[in-house]
Amino acid sequence: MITTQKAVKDSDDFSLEIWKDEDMTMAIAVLEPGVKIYATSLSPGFLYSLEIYPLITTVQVSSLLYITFESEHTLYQGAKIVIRLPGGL
Amino acid sequence: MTPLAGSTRATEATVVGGLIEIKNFVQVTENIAPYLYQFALSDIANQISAKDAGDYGITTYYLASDGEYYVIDTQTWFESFTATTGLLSADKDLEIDNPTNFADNALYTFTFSEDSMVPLGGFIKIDFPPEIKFDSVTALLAGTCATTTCTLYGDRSIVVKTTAEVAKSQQVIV
Repeated sequence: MITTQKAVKDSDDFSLEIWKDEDMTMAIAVLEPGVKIYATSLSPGFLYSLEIYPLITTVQVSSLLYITFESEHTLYQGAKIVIRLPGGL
Repeated sequence: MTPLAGSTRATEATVVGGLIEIKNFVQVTENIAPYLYQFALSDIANQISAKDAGDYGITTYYLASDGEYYVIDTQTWFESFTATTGLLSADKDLEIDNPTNFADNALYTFTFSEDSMVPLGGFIKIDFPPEIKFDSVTALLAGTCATTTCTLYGDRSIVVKTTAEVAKSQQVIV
């Protein structure tokens, strides 16, 4: 299995070399730089089971706002989540 | 910064306008999809009226070695939740200036306070019991309805359009 990159981001360059010998001492050709998987060819994953609801449901009252969701992919160290709240809040 | 309740992977969030940003996630050792995230933000005010608060969106980002954030997953949802109505409380018994049976031109005075603010241009709707008869021509010619915008709905209801914001707990007399 070969995975794509962890986020919608350009990958680093691929490297491809052709050698004459098994010990790879006689190079024939190397790939020119700039061959990569571009972010534009990737799509973000999905989030599931989104829920947003207040502890106290009465209009105009301030309370705890609960947010839950499931993500398709791992959040790694240093990750960030941005939530755009409903316009009515 | 707002504390995050119920989260074991991040401790605080930044709320700017309608955007909440949660940074500095701690990596967990076990990752088995789907990954569930649960947390609570404090002091978020519910919407003005009992209507769905609207659509919202969540996006997760990966912090790359170049110091920039890149999108991992994203989703928007077209509805969120509907708030429930607050309460009105009568400050006085209903007053009638002409309590005689079958009286014409009785002036009714309603005095109440409310849990919530009523915005300018909001509406106060009063439903009358079926025993009370309305005259569609003369019913709105006195009291508050003589000086503001009232509308008769059918033969049971009067709607008053507010001409100024009514603060929470402010007494209203119609």
